[in-house]
Amino acid sequence: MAITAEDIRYIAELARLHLAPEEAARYAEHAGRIVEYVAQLNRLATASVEPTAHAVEAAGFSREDLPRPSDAAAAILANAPARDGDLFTVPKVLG
Amino acid sequence: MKTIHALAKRLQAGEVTSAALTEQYLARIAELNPALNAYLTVAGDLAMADARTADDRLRRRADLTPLTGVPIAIKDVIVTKGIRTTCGSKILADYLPPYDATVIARLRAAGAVILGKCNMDEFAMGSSNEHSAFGPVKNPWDTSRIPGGSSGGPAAAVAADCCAAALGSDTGGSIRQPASHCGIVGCKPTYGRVSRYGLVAFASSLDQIGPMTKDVRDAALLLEAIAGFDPNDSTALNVPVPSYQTELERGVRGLKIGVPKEYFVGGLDPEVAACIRSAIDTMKALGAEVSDISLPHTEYAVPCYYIIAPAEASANLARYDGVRFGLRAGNGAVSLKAMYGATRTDGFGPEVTLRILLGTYVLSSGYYDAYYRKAQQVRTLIKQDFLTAFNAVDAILTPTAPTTAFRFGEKTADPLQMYLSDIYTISCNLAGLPGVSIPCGFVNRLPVGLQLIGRPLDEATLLRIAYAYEQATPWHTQQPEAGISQPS
Amino acid sequence: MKPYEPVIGLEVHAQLLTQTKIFCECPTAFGAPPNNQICPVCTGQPGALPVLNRTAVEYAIRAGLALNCRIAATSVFARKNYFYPDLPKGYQISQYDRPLCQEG
Repeated sequence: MAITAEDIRYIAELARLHLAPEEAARYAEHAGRIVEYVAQLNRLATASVEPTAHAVEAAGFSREDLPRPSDAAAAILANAPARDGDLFTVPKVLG
Repeated sequence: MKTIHALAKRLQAGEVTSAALTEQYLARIAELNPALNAYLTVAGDLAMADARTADDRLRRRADLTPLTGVPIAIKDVIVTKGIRTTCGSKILADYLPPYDATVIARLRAAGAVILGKCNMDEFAMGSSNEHSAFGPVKNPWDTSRIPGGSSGGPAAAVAADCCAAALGSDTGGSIRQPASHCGIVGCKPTYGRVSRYGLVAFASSLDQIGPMTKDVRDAALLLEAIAGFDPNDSTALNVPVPSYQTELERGVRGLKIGVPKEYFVGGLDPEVAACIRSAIDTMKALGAEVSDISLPHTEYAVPCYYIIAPAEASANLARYDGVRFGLRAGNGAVSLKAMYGATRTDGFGPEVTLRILLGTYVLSSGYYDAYYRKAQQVRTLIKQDFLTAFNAVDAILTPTAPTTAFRFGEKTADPLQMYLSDIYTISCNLAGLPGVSIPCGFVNRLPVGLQLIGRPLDEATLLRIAYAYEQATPWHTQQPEAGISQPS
Repeated sequence: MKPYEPVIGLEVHAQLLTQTKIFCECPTAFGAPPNNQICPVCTGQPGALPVLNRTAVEYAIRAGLALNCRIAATSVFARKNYFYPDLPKGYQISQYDRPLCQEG
């Protein structure tokens, strides 16, 4: 199935990527060829096959509800690209 | 050869101090890295501090491990508290992790010295290291060629003796393929054998950390040091870790090794094939029973992977949004959405962008069943192929890569050509199985790798076969010249 | 004009009285200063992984039983992807086609 530059622009919007028109065309070509290539999976009949999400089924480890405060808060805040005291700041959300 | 086990002997006998050894390695990195670009960050001062702590431990003979005082390199996809971790990406160029990965904490507890962080394809997406935002790594055997990827930096650092050994990560062959191209040993453990806590996620159901070393004994002891249950990773398996080292010398007599016919067709270079055939003869001479087997869904592994891996990556890479860490572009952007777009567009390179687009596409409304669910079903078939084969054999032997290291630029124009470099390694990740690549010869002075694939959690048998082969062959003792002088 | 049948769904949020967050060991003490009870996991640091709080599951099952739900023997978390500044990982760890409690 071919992917158009318009498809790519829509997908890019979902993924929060800005693509110039010539980039959208190039990504559409590359992604289109890969999607064509992966379509060969359709040669296999899989209606009765269970999907595998993880190759090794872990029991799903869970933990006790015991607080253990982290000592990393200062180092986490130090990475903020923009901050106001202990707050991360971002541009206006609406508008 | 400066293996971990050889250095440990000298350190523990007091013939050399960790500080002296670390200084030698730092000097060697300073000399060679401008040509190789294997390290992105050299943590000189911290490494010397680690070394002095290790020397104290060695003097007191307290709590010694084979890693105490031994200088190790880390792929830059594993977070290190206070040492910049970039993932080969502009978006994390200045990121200082607030915590250590579990494998780093284990190396530190064992007394290892962390020399620095090694170059890689951006977010581990690539097979040649040409997708690093910080320039490609050069192959120490021929600097006009790629080292393989995505763990090209650690592979080159080990091959050029810019560290005793390294940790890499493997999502579709990223430890084994560069190990093959650089003439070293690389081991991708069973999914869940090693904690992924602190491994920056590419495709969470496929990623695994593993050792990249100069010989099989080192792979065994380094795996032993990092493997095992971790309460911080709910996919880390709570099963005992065997003593891989003590299993090594049991030989291969009576072991059954299968050779899948599907791995010897199409794009396999005839001279690489000849090396593999010769290795099979050696295995037979050592007493292994070798038989032909079939893994009928082999041809579907690459297409299956290129749905699953980008899908998982597109979600895993959503957190790079310029809010809490990493690059923020478009400062002065009037809206949040504009800031997001500017940051992610400026921060991600073309291959990562392509894979985010692909992953978002296959997961988008209306396509999920046709792509992602279908790929997960094919993944089941691929896994079943292996489990069926393991009813008859103890391990599977294949080439690691279809060719030796290719030249820079040879496969960059066409992403599909690049993806086919991993044709022999991808199935292991889809099936969650352990795989090891070991040197098995040279074609035109370029190393060739042999891959062994094992049953789930049976790294011990793989390492045992690899060790028997290694001890019977000279390949692992060869080192690249590249005008490189040996440190004393 | 055809008669319309009103179909109304309610999305009800409830906070569980656990001592820690659902996927990390940070305390949930009310009234603490902002970004004080944070760690690598809940701030979505690269490489960090969630580990499920068992008590949160127990409380959710209790709520499900109180509401006459069928409790699933196997339940699956899914990622709900969208971008927002209060969503550190760019996805919610949520439930989709195999939730813990259904049909209450």
